[in-house]
Formats: sequence, structure tokens, C-alpha cells
Amino acid sequence: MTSKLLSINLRRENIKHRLGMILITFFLFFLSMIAFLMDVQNTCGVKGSKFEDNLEKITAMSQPNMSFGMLAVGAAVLLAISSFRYLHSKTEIDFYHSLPVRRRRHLYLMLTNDLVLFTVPLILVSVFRCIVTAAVGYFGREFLVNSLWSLVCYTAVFAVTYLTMSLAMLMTGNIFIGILGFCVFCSYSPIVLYYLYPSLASTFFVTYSGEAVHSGPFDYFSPLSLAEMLFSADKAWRWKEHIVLLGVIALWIVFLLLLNFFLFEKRASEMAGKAMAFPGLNALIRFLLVVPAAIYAGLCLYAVSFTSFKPWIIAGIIIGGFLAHGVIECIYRFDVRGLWSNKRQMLASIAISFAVVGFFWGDISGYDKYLPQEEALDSIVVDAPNVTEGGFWGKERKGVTGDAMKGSLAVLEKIVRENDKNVDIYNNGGIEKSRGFSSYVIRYKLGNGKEVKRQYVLSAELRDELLEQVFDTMEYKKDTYSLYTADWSLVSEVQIIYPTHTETLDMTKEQRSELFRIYLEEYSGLDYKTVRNTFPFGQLMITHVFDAEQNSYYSGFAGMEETETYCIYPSFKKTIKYLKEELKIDLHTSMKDISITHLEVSRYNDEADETESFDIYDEKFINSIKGKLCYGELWVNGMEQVIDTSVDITATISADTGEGIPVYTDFETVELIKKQGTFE
Amino acid sequence: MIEIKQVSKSFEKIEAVKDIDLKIRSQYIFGMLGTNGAGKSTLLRMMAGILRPKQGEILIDGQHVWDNPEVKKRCFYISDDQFFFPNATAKDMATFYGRYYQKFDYSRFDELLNKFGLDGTRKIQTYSKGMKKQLSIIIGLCANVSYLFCDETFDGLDPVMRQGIKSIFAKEIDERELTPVIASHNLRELEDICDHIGLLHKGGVLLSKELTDLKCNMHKIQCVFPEGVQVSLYKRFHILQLKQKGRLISMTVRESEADIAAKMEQLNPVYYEILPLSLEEIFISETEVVGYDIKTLIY
Repeated sequence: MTSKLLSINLRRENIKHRLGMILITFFLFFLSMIAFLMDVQNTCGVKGSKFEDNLEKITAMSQPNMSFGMLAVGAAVLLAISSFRYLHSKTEIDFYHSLPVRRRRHLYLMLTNDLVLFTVPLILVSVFRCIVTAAVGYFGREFLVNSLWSLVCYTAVFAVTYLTMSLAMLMTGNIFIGILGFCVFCSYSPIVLYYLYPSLASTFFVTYSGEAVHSGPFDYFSPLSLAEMLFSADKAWRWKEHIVLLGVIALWIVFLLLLNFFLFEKRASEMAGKAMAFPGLNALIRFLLVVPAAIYAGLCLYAVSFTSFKPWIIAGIIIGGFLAHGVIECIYRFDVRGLWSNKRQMLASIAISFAVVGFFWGDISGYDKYLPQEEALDSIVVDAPNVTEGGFWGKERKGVTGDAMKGSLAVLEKIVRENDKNVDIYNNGGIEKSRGFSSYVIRYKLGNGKEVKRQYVLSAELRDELLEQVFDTMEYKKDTYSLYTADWSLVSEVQIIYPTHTETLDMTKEQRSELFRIYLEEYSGLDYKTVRNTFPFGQLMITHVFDAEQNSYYSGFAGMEETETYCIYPSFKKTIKYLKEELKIDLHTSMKDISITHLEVSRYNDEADETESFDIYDEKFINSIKGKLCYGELWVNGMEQVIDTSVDITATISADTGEGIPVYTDFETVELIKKQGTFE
Repeated sequence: MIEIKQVSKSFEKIEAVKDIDLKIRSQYIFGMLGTNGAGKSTLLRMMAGILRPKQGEILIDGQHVWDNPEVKKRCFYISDDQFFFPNATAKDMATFYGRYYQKFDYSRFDELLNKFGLDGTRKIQTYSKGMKKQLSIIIGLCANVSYLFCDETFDGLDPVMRQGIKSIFAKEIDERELTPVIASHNLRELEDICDHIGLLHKGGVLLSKELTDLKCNMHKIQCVFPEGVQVSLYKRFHILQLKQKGRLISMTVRESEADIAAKMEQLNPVYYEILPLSLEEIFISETEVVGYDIKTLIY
């Protein structure tokens, strides 16, 4: 018998004895055909729908999608289990391995058979889809190209998942452990490793700002995250979008294939029924699992303690290390007494976990003390509180350079020095002590193209020092206020808040652009001294949508609406004039013109854990301070330094209805107010 | 010929087979005897190319067996719990094996099925344990291989069936140089079938001899000498064991029946009788010579 004929015969036998699994796979594909038929029927059945719309919808169905991707993953797992299951049974392994066929050939037969079992129904489904689409008149070149592209994507995902599952089956001697192994392979890199650094850094580094670790390298090491990346991204069907991803998948397939062949030949038949098929790797696998498990257990125990008592981490590491090691040993041995075995390695794993945690705890890398050398810096981006990346919809933030950068660096040196103390006051100092403290995120843009991000807590003095260095520069303003660089066509609504009104500005596109231009011209001239000493009287509330193409920060926000606020100062004469004369707004530029009959002053008493207050009815006094009051509906973004928030003031503006509005005022005026009554 | 050279195999810390040297000649029925855990199955699985020796080598007709399909084509392994596909019939299994063993004899398969009274179209999972064993042997025989490795395959088969299989083996040995290697812990069952016996204990081979040699050269003598006559029996006979009860002497000697009779005639006893030894008794004597108590090994 020729080798080719023998191969065909063996392949036929292999398929013949796995009919159940093959039927399940074919049934899944059959269901997908029914679902497609229903989708097409529903699309075409909409009365009055346009041909172009239907064509677009039906063509989109031929693109690779997540649900079919999951079918590929599921089929890969099922077929790999059914093929390699025999390795876990002593009777079956004796049967198969006594047959006169080289192991390498046996593996080759299984792999190619399973690939055929997946691709044949996949091709049939694709042909069926093309026929159905042609029958309803929507078949075209794009549909065909997409279908072929889908075949490539699904087969790639199938292959990488199948080989990962087969590797797990090969490395183990029990089907349950094999499935567990597959779960570990899928989750180790994108979950266990990916979250390790952020978890440790956020616990131990006070200047860690929660910046996302780039998930790409981690996602590349799991078949499921590769599938997720391939199918969930926008326009997944575009070749150029995924050439790198497919390259990575191809590399994985080659690597896994070689590893599968190597291990299949090396695998001892007597390992059937044992937990692990390569006992020599047990220690390494245990170590790779126990160390992160112990660290996570430590961090978890600390988190659930709801305290800042870090020794909980030590207890967690010991408990977690012991349990993880013990559970793995129990699995290795299929014996609960394994909990106590290999104590030396358990201690070593716990010791390494301590070493890793100690590295972060002791800040051996000097993370919190980091300050770049001036010559290594390109610029510094100062993120003021509440002006977060999520809200920023302008172009790229470039940061302050030149003298402003040098001056900022000098202030940052002080900030870094005092940060530990300030963080302690900010977190534990209570309302009184922590008043005026705020958290700033600084991004150091380095000459080598990298960016280092830190978060500091600044006292009011340090904040003033820092803003004095940067606020007057256009670089800072452009980095902080999106309107300077954003695409104004994304604006969907503009509202104005002024005492004591909120109204939507009804204006043309041209008027809106003119308003923004005038406003920004005046804002550019605003200096920090003015900001510190004057209240804004009003605010523009600009609602906009995010555009993935234009916003470099949050492409995931595409289509979402958000509102950003811009303060209007009394010095913005041109803006006021434009609002009054062009847009016909009856603008109050101060609280002076507002009739106030009564002030209620309240504050929260930390010690008594209650709110205490008093009232002021003295008309003369109220009139004397009215000019210094600021309408409370304004959110004075980043301008809290001019406002004393130690008291809450409510002004009654209508004696008849008793309608009250919140108001703010400066530190000096608050002191005068406090003299008017006693808190009770 | 199967040559096992200094073969060792351990499972983690347990040494299953240790430095075994053994030669199994072609066209002999080789019985591998030993207690549970003696290493019989391990050795057989290594001979069948399922397990890889940790040390040493196994050569079948001068070629390594491990992952060598050319050699494996000449071998067929029947495990103590042979695997059959779920829902498969005997004929399905024959078709399956026929794909791998190109000389598979389907007509002989049908013939043997009839002879053994097995229904080839019935699902194997409905067979009794004994029927499954018979089917394994039939498939093994019909695969037309030179070496048939049977792991405890005959345990549980009735004596008539064993004799039937022995005669089939004898025919196959004559016709096409079959060499069956049978592992068992039951000496009596092997006695019916084998020509050559190897005794395994704690992973090593205690002894390996041809059954006829063992049987022809070892006898039990019962004799009574006249009162007052002192005979130095140890000088005259190769005594393996000697027991005396009153004047009745029982001894096991390693000598042929003719030699024993000649010597006894010279000694002129009151009474003497030469008895053949059962395989069990031969093993007891042989192993006691090398310092083992066989009863603790095989019972």
C-alpha cells in the first residue's frame, strides 16, 4: 500500500471514530447558516428600505465578526479535546501508540484532519452565504472579498486556538487539567501579567497616576485576546488594519506547531492519567503561578481590609502563597495531602513574591522620586484637576517648553520633595487640613520620545507656584482648554450660565465661531494674577461629540457627547459685548444687580459629624458684599484658589418664593460673613 | 529475535524495570511470569514500542522498536484491558487494524470468529470480558505479525480455550514464524501454553529457561534405604532440596530420569520412585536455589 493511500485510510478511520464531535461542529455551522438566512430575510423584509442600505447591511454580514469568531474558538477547543483526549487514557494510549505509525505522522493526521473538519463546513457556509446573497440580488465583489477575508481570519483564529488547546492537552495527563491548562494559557499574559504592574504600582507608588500599561504585548500571548483584537476592532476586515496582528498569529501558529510536534514526540505514554505529562516542568509552572497568585492575594487582602495598614499584604502573600502552592500540588498529585509537600519551593515562591512586593514597597526603582534631567526633557504637560484626558477633545497636548518648563521643573523638585507629606494630608488630614490641596498629573515628555506620567498632591502654595510658571503661556492654555485646538464643527450645543440664569445660545455657525474666536482671544490674554484675584461671573458650557478620527486621546469615545465649561471674567469686555449686542443676552456680569434678601451660611463640623449653620438678614451687610459673591451654579474649573470653600452659602433671591441659589466668595469676605453669626 | 539489553524504566521514583537482559528466540512461546508490580507489563509495553526505556535498548530483529513503524508492523500488542472504539463491532475493529497492518487476513478473521463462536456484527461493548479477550487474540493473530505481545490476555480464559489457543499458536509458529510473548502472574495458566519461561521479580529477571529443559532435568525422588545404611546422597546427586521424614527421603534433583535410575540401582534402596515435577515445583526449587522463596513471589 502506498504511503498516500495509507494516509487516506488512516484519515478516514480517524474521522470515522469521532463522528459525534464532527456532527456537533457541523451542527454549529448549520445554525450559523440559519441565522444568516434570517438576517438577510429581516433586512430585505423591511418595507420601503433602500437598495443601497440593504446592500450595505448585507455586505457587512460577510465581514469577520466576533460571534462567528467565537464559533471558531469553540470548534477549535472541541476538536482539539476530541483528538488529544486519548493521551489521557491508559487503555487508549496503549492502543494508539502500539500501532505501526510514527508519532509525528499520527499528530500530523490529527492536525490536518481537524483543520479539514473546520475549513470544509466553513467554506460550505461561505458558499451558502454567497448563494443566498446572489439570490436576493445583493452579491458583489465586496461581499466575495469580505467572505474570503473572513475565511482567512476564522481559520487563523481556529488554528491558534486549536494548537493552544492541543498543547494544553499534551502537557497534561487528565482532561480536566488540560482544560485548566488551556484557561491558564489564555489568561496568563493578558490578565495575570497585564494587571500585575498596575496593581502593585497603584498600591505602593503615591505618584502613580493609573496610566494604562500598553496591553498590546500582553494580548499577543493569548489566542482569545488575539481573536478579540481581530474581531472586535472597528473595520476588522481591513487588511491593512490587521497585517501586524495576522503576522503575530502566523508566528504563533508556527511556534505552537513546532512545540506540539516536539512535545508529542517527547511525551511519555505512561503519563496518561497523571495531572502533568512533563514532571520536569512542574516546578517551573508552579512557580510561575504561585508567585503572581501570592502577590494578588496580598493586594486583595489589603484592598478588602479598607485600611491603609499595609502589613495585610504580608499576611495575604503568606496565605495566598501557601494556598496557591498547596492547590497546585494537590492537583499535581490528585491528593489533598499534597497541600504540605515541596515546602522548600513554597517558601522560595513566597520569598520571591515578597521580593517583588518589597521592590515596589521600598520604591527601589525610585519611582516616586523621579524627576527628569532638564536636558532629557522636551516639554512638561500640566494636567489641572478636573481637566482630564477624558474631557479633552482638542489636538495633541504638547506641553510647556523653554523657560516655563525650566521654571516648572524647579517647582516640581519641591513638589516631589513634599509629595509624601502632602499626600498624607490630602488623604488623612480631614476637611480642614486638606483644604486647598489638589492633585495634579504631570507628564514629562522626554527627548527620546517617551512620556513619563506622575501624579502629585500640591498644597495651595505649591499649586500657585506651578501655575505662575505655566498659566500665562499659550502652550499651557492650549493643552488645558480643548477649544483652542478642537474641531468646532463637533460642537452640538452652547449654553451660558450667568447670575442667576442658564440659557442655550441660539446662534448661527458663523456666530458661534465668532464667539469662540473672541472668547479665546481674551482668554489668551488672561494672566494667572487675574485668575487668582477675580471671580468669573459666567460660564460657557460647550457640548460636543468625540470624533475617533480627530481626537487622539479617546477614540473609544467616538460618538459620545460631553460638556466642557469655560469661565467668563469681567475683564472679557469683547465677549460680553458680543453676547449682549450680537446674541441679545440680558447678561448680568455680577451679583450686584440681584436682589438678595437672606444668606444662609453652613459648614460641616468634622468632629461633631454634623452640619451647623446661621442666617444673615442684614440688608446693609448683604448689599456691601454682593459684589464679591459668585454665582454658585458656575463650576469654577481649576479656579478654586480664589474661593473659600470652608462654608456653603445659600442666597435667597426671592422673598416670595424663598428660592435659594448657592454662592461662593473669597477668603476675606468669608471671614466677614463668619463674623455675622455663630454656627449652631 | 527480541533482544533486551540492560533495559531500565522508572515511573518517577518507582523503578519498574531494572537492568533487564533477556533474549527471546523466534518461534517460541515466551511466558513472562511475575507478581503484580514485577514489571511484566512495563517490559511488554516497552517491547511493543509504547514506552521508551529510560536506559538500555530493545531490538526486534536487530532494529530499535521505539517509534519505528517498520518494526512495529511486525508486532501486535494486546493489553490486559484492550481498547475498542465505542459502538464498534468486531468487524469494525478488524477494518481499523487492517488499515495499519497491511497483511491483515480478513478471511481468517471470519473463520476464527466462527470457531470461537463470536458474532462479528455485534457491538463489542456487549461482549463479556472473556469474549473481548478472545477477540483481541483473534485480531492479533489475523494481523499476521511475527511478534504477538499478550499482557495477561489468557488470565480468566478457561483451560479448554487456553489449549485451543495453544494449538492455534503452534500452527501459526509452524506456518509463519510467530513468536508470542505472554505476560501473566499465573504460572498454571502459562504452563499450558509456553515453551520458555522468564521469571520477573522487582523489575529484574530471576531466571529464564526453556520449559522442557526445566522439566527434563529436574525430578523428585522418593526413596527408603535399609535400616542402618548410611548413604551420602549429596555426593551422588545434584540435590536442590532434601527432606526426610523417618526413613522416607524426598529430594529434588537436577538430573535426567535415566541417570537417576542408574544411580538409584547402584544404591539398592528398599523402595524408590522418580516423579516428574510440576512447573510450580520446578520454580519453587529453582528460585530457592538463588535465595528466593517463590511462594512469596507468585502467590
